[in-house]
Amino acid sequence: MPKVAFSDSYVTIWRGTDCRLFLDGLSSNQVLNLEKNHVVQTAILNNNAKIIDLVTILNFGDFLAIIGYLPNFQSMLDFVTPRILQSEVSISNISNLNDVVILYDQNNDSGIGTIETKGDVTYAKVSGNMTYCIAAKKVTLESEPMDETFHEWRISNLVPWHGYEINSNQIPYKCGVNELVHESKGCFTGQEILTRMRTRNKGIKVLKSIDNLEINSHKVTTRGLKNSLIIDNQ
Amino acid sequence: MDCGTCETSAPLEMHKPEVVDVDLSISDNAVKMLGDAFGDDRSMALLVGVLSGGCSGYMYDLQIVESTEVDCQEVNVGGFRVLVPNSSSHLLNGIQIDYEDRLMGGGFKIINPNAESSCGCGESFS
Repeated sequence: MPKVAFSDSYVTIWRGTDCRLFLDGLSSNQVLNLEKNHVVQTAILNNNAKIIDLVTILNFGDFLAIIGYLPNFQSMLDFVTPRILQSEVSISNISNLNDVVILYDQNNDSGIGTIETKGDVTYAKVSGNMTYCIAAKKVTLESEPMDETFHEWRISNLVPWHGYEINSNQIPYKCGVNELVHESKGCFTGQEILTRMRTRNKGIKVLKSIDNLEINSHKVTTRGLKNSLIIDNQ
Repeated sequence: MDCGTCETSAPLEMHKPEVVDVDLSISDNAVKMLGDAFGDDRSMALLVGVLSGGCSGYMYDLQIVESTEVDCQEVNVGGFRVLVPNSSSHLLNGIQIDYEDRLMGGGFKIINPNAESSCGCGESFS
């Protein structure tokens, strides 16, 4: 199974009784019911439903671990921390203590949404073809750099990624992460805009893998050798 | 995973908003409704707070309480005890509490000069 280093990631620990409720109110997917030893991905959105960061949340019982995209770290904190108010939420940055590696191309649907710790490595299966592995830096996690092999796989499997399809100008319904928007969980920041898009079926875009010879280059979000990823109308 | 518990991984420095002395007002309609809710019992208080979430990032939280463990300031308005958490005082200074008597979308409303925008139902603001 191929492994790539998610070297531009951050890892934070969230402690306190209000963490899940707090995150549920500020992000698109359901976090409130996230059980111990389970994982969920969600998008923290601003009032215009644009992505501040797409994060992976692991519930270890005593605390949550949140993995996000390092370039978005400060804007995530700037958005989140003023809203803590009287909530019991405490955040620690443990990025310098841990490495994150992505296992991909698994094609196995069992155990999606669960986390498992084997030895010194924690495995969080976020989808049928992707698992996040987190380990302390003192543990050697073998991996390849995130190069064209990973991106060719993403193009073939229509998998969006940070800095390519997923960025701060994007709305979840416009960058291929529709499944991270929970349709019935109730209010969250940006929800009105997303609900309007969904109910009117307006403005929603999809990822497409298009032959480079047939492509309009300004639409390309990830360029591949033969095909490229674009964001296009449905 | 190294959760940092055994290391010196201190919590991040949080944004601590300034605590301000809250000035708020209550409309005649709201006073009437609170009078109906409280009756002659003035030992209870109206807690006006802010929670994170809602369509615009912050949500109003209104509760009738006897007391609270939250660090609050107490204001007497229209003969009623109103409690405002210090942690959200900067968001609530200058508000007017109103009551709209409508079959749909009625109830207590907060008119907030600090809000840049609010969602359709009025419960959430930014």
